[in-house]
Amino acid sequence: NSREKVVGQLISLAVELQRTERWIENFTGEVNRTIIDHQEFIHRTTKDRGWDGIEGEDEEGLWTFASSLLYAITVTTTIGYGHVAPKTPEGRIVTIGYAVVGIPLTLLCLTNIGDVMATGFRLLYGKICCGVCCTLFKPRRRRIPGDPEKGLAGPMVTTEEEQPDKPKEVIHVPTSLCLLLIAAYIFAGAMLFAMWEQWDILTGSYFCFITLSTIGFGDIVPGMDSNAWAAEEKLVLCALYLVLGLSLIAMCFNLVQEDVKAKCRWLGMKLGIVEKHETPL
Amino acid sequence: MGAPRKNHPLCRKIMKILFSHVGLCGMVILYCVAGGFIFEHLEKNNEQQICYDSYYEYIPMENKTINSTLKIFYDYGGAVTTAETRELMIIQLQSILQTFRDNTLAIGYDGRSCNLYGKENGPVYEWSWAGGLMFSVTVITTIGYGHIAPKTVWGRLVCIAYAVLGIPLMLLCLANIGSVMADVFRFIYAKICCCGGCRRKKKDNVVKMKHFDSNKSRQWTVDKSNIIAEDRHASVSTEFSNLKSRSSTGSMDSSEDRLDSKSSKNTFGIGKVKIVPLNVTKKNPLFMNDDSDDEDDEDDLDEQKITVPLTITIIVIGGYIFGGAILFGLWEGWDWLQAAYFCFITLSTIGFGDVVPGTDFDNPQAQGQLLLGSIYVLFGMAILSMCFSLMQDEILAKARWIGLKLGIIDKETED
Repeated sequence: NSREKVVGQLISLAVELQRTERWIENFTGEVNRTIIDHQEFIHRTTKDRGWDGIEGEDEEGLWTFASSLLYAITVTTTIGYGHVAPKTPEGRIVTIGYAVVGIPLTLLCLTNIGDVMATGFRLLYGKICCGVCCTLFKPRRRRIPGDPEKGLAGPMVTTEEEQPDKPKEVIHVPTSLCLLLIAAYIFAGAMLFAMWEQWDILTGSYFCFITLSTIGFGDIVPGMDSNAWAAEEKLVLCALYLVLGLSLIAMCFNLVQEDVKAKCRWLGMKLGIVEKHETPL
Repeated sequence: MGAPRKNHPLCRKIMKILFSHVGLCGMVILYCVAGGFIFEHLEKNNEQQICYDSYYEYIPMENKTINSTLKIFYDYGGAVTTAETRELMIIQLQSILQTFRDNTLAIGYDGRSCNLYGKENGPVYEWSWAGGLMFSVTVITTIGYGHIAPKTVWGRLVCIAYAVLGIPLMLLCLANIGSVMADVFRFIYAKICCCGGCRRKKKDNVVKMKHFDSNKSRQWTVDKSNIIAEDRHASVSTEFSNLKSRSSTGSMDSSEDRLDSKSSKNTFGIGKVKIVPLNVTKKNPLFMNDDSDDEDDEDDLDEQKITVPLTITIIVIGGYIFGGAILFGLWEGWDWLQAAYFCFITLSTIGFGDVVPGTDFDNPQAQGQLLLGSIYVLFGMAILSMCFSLMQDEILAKARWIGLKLGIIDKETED
C-alpha cells in the first residue's frame, strides 16, 4: 500500500532532517516533493491499471450485479460504453465469446420484436386513422339494402364494412410519424435522466441519442455515482430504457422500409441517377 | 421527368459520379476528414481550458495538504522518536493522504503543464486532427470509443448532427462496397477453385475428341462450338452420351458406324446451316450434364451458382482480426490478447474504448497510430460487409435446415 510507504517516508525524513540545521525549510521542500510524487503515482495508477480509487473494504466496487447487467447489455447490443470494461484476460476472452453468441441473438430478437410491434402499430394506426376518417366523412357513407343489381353495379358505394377493410391492406405509416416517435422517446428519456442525475436537457438528450444510435461513448452514464441515491435502480432503469428504445427503433425501421425505398427511388430518378426501369444500388 | 435531364446534364453527371461506388467511398473519406477538422476546431481550446480549470482547483488543495502535513510535525515538536507519538502521527498522516487522494481523483488534474500544450515537451493535444479523425470514424461506424468525447455544448450538438448524417451515409457505402467486394471475391474464388477442377475436365474432352477422330467420320465437325450449339435435338445429346460411353469403353462396332452416319447426317446438315457464335452456348442448360461442354461454359455456369462456403468467410474475418492483432501488438507494445481483444471489440462495433491505439501520448508516433487505427477500422468494416454479403445465402439456408430439423418450420410452409 503506497500510502503507508509515503507516510513512512515522511517520518523517516523528519527524523533525519531534525538533526540538521534549518530543518524546517529542508523538510518543507521534501514534503512538497513527496506529495507531488504521490499525486503522480495516483494518477498513473488510475490511468494505466484502471484503479478508481476505491479500496476493497470501502465500497462494493465497480462490478455489482446491476452494473454487470448493464455491461452485458451494452455488449450484446454493441453499444459498448466502456465505463466498466474487463481487465483480466479471462474476462476479455469471455467477453469475446459472449459477444459472438449474443450479438446475432440480439439482432434476431430485435428484428422479431420489431416485426410484432410494427404489425401492432400499423393496426393501431389504421384504427385511429380510420376512426378519424369515418367521423370526418360520415355523410358519404351509404348503405344499399341488399339490392343485388345496385350492389353489383355500384363501385362507389362504400358500406361501413368496406371502409375498415380497405386500409388494412395498404396501411403505410408515414415516415414523419416514426421519426417523431423516436424523437419523442429521446426527449422523454432526456427529461427523465436530467431529473434523476441533475443533468441539463442537452446532456440528457445527448446521452439518449448516443445510446440509442449504439455509438455509446460512455463519458456520461447514469448511475455511475455509486454514492448517490438509488444507484442500482438507476442502472437497471437505464438498461430497460436501452432495450425498449432499440425495440422501438427496430419497429420504426420495419415501418418505414417501403417508404424510404420508394422515396430513395424517387430521389434517384429526380437526380437522374436512376433510370425509370432500373432499381438503385 | 425528362426536363431536368435535358437542362442539367452536367448536374446529372456529377450526381452519377457521386453516387457510384468510388464516389461513395470518396464521400465517406471526405466526411471523416472534414469531421476531423471540425471536431478539432471545436474541442481543442476547450481541452486546454479544462486543464487550466483543474489546475487552479488542484493547487490550493495541494498546498492545504502540505500545510496540514507540516502542522502535524510541528505539533509534535521534536518528539518524533517516541512510539505513541509516532502511532498518532501515522494515523493522522494517513487520513490526510487519503483525503488528498480522493480530492486528486475528483479534480482529475494529472500534473501536466497546461501552458505548454502543443509545444515542445508539453502535453500533446488529444483533439489533434488525427484524434478528431479517429473520433469521426468511431461516430459514423457507431463504434464510439469514448476515450475522447465532446465536452462543449457546440461539440455535442455537432456530434449529434454529424451522426444523423454520417451513419446512413456509412451504411449506404458499406452496402455498396460489400456487394462489389463480394462479387470480386466470388470471382477470384471461382477461378482458384475451378482451375484445379476444370483442368481435369479439359483432359477428358481432349480424350473424347481423339476417339471421335479415330471414328473415321470425316463428316463430323469436331469443332466444339458447333457441336454444342446443336441444342435442338435431344437425340444429338443422347448420341453424344452414347458415343462418350462407348469411347470410354473403347469398343467400336457396326452399330456405332450406323449411328455415326445417321447422326452425322443430321448434325452435319444442321451444322452446315447453323453457325452459332460461342456465346450462345452459355445459355444452354441442356448441356450442363455433358462433359463435352466448353470449359468457359462450365466456368460461367459455376460462377453464377457459386457460393463461398461459410468457413472461408469466417477464416477471412478471423484472419483480419489476427493480422490486426499482430500489427497493433507490435506497434503499440500490447500483448497479443489485448491486441486481439481490441480488434474484436472494434470490428463488432462495440467499442469500449479502454484499449485504443494512439492514445499513449508519450509515444512520438501517436498521430500515425491514430491514422492507422482509423484506416484499419474503415477497411475492417468493408471486409465485414463483404463477408456478410457472402454469408447471407449460406446462413439462410442453414437456418432453414436447422428449423426443419428442429421441427420449427414445416416442410411445406417455409418462411
